[in-house]
Amino acid sequence: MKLVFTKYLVDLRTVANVTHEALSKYPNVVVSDRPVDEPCYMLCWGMPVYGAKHGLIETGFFWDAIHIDTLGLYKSSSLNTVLGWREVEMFSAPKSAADIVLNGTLNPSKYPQGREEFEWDGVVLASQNPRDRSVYSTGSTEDYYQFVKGACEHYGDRLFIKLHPHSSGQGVTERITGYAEANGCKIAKTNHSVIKNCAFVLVWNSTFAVDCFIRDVPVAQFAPGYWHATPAVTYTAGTYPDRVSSETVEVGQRLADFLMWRYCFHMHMPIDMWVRLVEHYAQSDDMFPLPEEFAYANNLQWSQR
Amino acid sequence: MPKRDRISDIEMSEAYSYIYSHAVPNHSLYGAFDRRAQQFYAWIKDNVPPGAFVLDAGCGRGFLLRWLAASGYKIEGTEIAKWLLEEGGDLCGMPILRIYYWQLSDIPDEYYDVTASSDVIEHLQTEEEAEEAIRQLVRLSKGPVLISTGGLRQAHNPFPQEVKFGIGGLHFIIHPKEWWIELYEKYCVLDKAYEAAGSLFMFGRKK
Repeated sequence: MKLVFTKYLVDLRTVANVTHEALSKYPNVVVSDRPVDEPCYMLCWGMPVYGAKHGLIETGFFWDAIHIDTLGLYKSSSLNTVLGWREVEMFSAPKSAADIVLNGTLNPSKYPQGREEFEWDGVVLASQNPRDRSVYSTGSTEDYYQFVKGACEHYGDRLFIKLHPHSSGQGVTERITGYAEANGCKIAKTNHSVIKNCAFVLVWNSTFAVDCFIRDVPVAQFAPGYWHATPAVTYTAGTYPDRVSSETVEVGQRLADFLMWRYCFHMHMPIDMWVRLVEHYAQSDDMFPLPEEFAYANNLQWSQR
Repeated sequence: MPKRDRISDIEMSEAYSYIYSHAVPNHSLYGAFDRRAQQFYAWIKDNVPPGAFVLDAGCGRGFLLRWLAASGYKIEGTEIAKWLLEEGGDLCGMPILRIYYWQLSDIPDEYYDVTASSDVIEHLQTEEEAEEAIRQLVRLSKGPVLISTGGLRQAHNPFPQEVKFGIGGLHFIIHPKEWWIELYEKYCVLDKAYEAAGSLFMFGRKK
């Protein structure tokens, strides 16, 4: 069976080992945005490409982690299905994600965090880039701004907006700052100190939720995303809660463990591992085919800080 | 063509847009969609090779179609809830015909290898429409016809705003399972019938 790697992935500088040159050594690998005219498995980016067995690949959740979902991304992820969640519930990690992230050398988040420290006992809104695909997966850029505006108006001076680490330019920060200042909210680029004692973290569908899971912080999720239909978060369906249950915390830890051991692998692993892993996905009918030897948690030696 | 004189297609579309846009918070309902799709997926995986063309008529959030597409099946769905097809909706970018059930009659005979419809026919407005729907699914399939129905009982209404149509909540047609099986067997050879995830599944092939 041919393995078709989508061009976007191969051209992506972040995934440095997956290049046209490196893949040219494998006769069963093709780089294309369409399935080929023979039995093939398609590794898609962003949206499914219909006409072949496929998986969808995306970076995320941990510092240099990447994942292939056998069903879909964001709200269409396999994690949101009944069968998928059953596997999460049954999983027991050799070592917790919290232990690996908080007590090891791994960078503590998907993105480099700000250096400023803040203490906050109110609500923290972890902001996203309003033009990110994760936002588009469930609404528009304007919907996102209205979400932030609504949160500022609802919570007032109880709200801290934790700006996205890459938030800058195109008026994004200015518009969000405007909503915050008009309603007496605090706003800054800060590190994880701000969520340590907060009531809960409010997100649109940000995967900053994973940072919260491993730090025992409850998450309220406003829009559908990777795990909105699971008990790891309080899904608010477009409303602003005044309090959320802490019962989600233990479930969130379990989900973080699953992500680190059964869902994510290392984007900087050698090309031979990449090809072997995709071959395995092509042959498997499992919802979560990731073999343990490829688990992100088992391959942290490839990490770059 | 069945007469539709009580609720217009547009009203139906708006009602189902409302339902889908408010159903996500209800975990049990979201899960039921998923568990039903799994029943269809398992049968197709066991009986039809990848590459086959599958229709899911009234595909809802598209769980079944996504699972099949990711496994290498060619897929097409129909759905009346406009909200699902818009940017950010569950079906955005998927091969979906936004048509009403009665418009299946515009598609050529045996256009698909498999036709499926999960918990839709009991939402049609008359028994005649339900029977016509089965006739269309049979006509469009080269063989397998897979149908489930929740029309054994009244539908639970979990939505903030009451949706007022149908004699049983969202269900227009309610009958014991024997009635549904008899209707199915008028046009198909039943392979198996069973109840799961709150619905009756009838899997088999056209006569």
